[in-house]
Amino acid sequence: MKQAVILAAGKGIRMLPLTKYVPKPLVKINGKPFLDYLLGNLEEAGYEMVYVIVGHKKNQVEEFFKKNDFNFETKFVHQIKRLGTGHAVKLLSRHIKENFVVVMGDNLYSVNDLGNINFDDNYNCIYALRHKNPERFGVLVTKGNFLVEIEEKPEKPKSNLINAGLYKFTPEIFDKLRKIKKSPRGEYELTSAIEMLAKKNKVKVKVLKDYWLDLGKYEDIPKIESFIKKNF
Amino acid sequence: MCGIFAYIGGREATPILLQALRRLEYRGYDSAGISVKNYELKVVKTEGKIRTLEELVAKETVSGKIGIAHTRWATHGEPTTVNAHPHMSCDGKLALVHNGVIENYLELKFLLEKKGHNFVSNTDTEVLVHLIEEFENQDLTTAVELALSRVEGAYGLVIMSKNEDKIIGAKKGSSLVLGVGKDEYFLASDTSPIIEHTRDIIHLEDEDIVIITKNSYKIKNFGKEKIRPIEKVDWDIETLEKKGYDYFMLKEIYEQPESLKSCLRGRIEKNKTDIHLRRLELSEKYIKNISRIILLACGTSWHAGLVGKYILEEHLRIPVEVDYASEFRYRNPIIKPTDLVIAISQSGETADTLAALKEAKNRGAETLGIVNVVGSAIAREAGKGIYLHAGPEIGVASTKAFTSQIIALHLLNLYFGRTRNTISDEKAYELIKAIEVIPEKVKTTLELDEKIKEVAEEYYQVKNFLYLGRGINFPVALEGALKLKEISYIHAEGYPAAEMKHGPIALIDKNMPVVFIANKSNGTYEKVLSNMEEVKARKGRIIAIATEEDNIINKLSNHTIYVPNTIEFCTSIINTIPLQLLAYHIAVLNGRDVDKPRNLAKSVTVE
Repeated sequence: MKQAVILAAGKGIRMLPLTKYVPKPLVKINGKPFLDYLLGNLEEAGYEMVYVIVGHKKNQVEEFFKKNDFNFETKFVHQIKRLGTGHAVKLLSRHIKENFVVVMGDNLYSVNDLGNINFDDNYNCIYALRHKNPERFGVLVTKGNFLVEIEEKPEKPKSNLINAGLYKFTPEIFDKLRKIKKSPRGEYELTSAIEMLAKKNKVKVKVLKDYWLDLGKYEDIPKIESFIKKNF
Repeated sequence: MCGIFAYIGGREATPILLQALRRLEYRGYDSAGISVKNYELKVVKTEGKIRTLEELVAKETVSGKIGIAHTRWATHGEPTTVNAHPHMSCDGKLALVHNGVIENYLELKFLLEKKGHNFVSNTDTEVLVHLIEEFENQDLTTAVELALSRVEGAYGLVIMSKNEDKIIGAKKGSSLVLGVGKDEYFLASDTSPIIEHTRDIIHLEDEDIVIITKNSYKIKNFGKEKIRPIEKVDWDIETLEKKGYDYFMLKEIYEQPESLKSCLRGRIEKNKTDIHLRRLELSEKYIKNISRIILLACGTSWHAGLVGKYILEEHLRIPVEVDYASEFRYRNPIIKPTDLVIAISQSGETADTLAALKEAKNRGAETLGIVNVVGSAIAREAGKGIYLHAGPEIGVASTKAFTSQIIALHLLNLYFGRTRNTISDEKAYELIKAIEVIPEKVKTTLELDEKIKEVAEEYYQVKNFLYLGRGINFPVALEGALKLKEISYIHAEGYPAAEMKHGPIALIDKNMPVVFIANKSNGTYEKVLSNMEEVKARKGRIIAIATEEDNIINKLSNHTIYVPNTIEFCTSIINTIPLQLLAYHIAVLNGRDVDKPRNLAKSVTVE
């Protein structure tokens, strides 16, 4: 069964003051909350189960799901303390026993890319995009098809593949998530657990065929709006 | 006093506009709005605080790189969403924000309505955008020039158009500042919202029109292009909002000549014997039948009520009762239909006063409000009354609202007295002549600041103070004591001077200084002198507020502060000024946070 975990608990500090009143995934893009597009694509790609990790303004997120009917099961998991992406995904360890996808609630990927994710093998997968200025992102260092390590905003990037924030995991990720330590910025990072798996050659790198839209700051809104207008 | 702001450049306008409105909030905050241009003009505006606007914008996601914004302190028209700026033209192609007053707006509105323009608000500002729309067949700059040539009044305004990637600002009378950034420009009522983006500022001059695109700006004055010097601002934001004063409270003390003038503006008839109060709405018959006046208030406003009692009883010969609102509402008060109940409040939201007013209304009283904040709960509950027009009062301890409340009570006194024929032509003329020069005399009194600071330096370490006054200056003593208590946390009490010997004189020793209000025009001047002798005999130190050139006082007092002379009924305002400054300096010397005293809230909305 295709199942996804959406991380939608963040405070959205880079979009203040708007995010004082709405959670970032619900910021309107061309009149619709941004999350609506992601959920629509997950639905079309045949996902049957969606876990949503909520925190900041969770009532609004839960309200949104109630008002809109999607053709998959939804379950909310409340991340009470904002301790990082690694901590968030670890909250699913009791619920998830099979392979699953992890995606950020303020990102968007195409139906094709979401639908083509392979749930049947035993590898973890991190999805990437080629970018002309990779030094601004998390850069993926590979050996063949496998991930070796992730460099955060490196001065001299070793490749032009950047982390597009879309992952597919096997349940073994939970074991690693229980072992990671806090990063320099004081959070438990999902990428720390991925790097542990990468050392055992358990993480493949695949390149997205279509697009990755990231709602980071206010300036991104008009870019995303015109992209969506053109392509949807 | 509103705040306007505009942005044009390479960044998204909305977060910049909202942040700017937060900076300008201190200028006025009963409604706010923004307009942003993308493919069309999107206007989001609402009554309430900036927070309410932010919430609305969060739900709508307004994007664009050109925008204008406004935060409103209502003068013409209640604070409502419809009256909030920006205002749009009939065809929705123009949006405008404005700070100032358009004096001939009614005649312009009449003419424009005849030409088919559709007005939706009660503001003077709306005529500006429709007037510019009239000249729409010209280019925007020419349209603005033509429109403004027909306008009388003061303005700082910015206009934007759906069809052009530019903004146009104009200044006359109200301040407007241009911020020059890197490929982006800012216009604002003052520098406080601009300096976090750029410190290069141009202060526009009267009759300047500035046309700004993303890459350049041009200033024209009467059609001629002008080069204005760019100055570099090195103040920080907090300092700018206080306009260089260390505290909002000091700024507000110094604003009193202006705030008092604002309260009088347009209310004194040209014959100088009659008063015009537009919102009073009481019939001549009713006014002639008033049998009692009850003034309801809390704190400093209650002191203003006490001063009002002296003024109103003397001239109207109607009994006046002054009640603490909190006591009135629970006392099962006696109200007759011929009782007039007046609520006095700066914020218009004081819970006790509002509740007392409702109680009075329920018992059948007629009601008035004397309030600073337009459209506040007490103003709406009373339905009619007098607005102070003192501008926002931010310091928690009230200063300019108090003196304006007294002036408003003077105006009420004259209005009633002339209607009831208890104030003759000569008396009215004398009162009005004295009242009209109060702002000037307050200005002179403020020049005593240095001298008062020296007095404060001698006394700031004492633990107790006594304030004494007689007649109309007894409430001034109460207010002086309250100010000292509020901001310096030194215990102080006010008493009628004669009452001192009935108890408080036991407290007098060298550690208990006494402030005596001892103007010569006060009918009980000689009695006050003997009160001072009594204090001196017990080694008490005396600070006297006296009329200029009084040589007898300074033989009795340790320090004398000489204030300008005026008629007795106007002395209360003049005498308050040195006591505000004394409290201020003593508080500062004690290291207190003058604007936010401990345990106190600006508007007490709990009961």
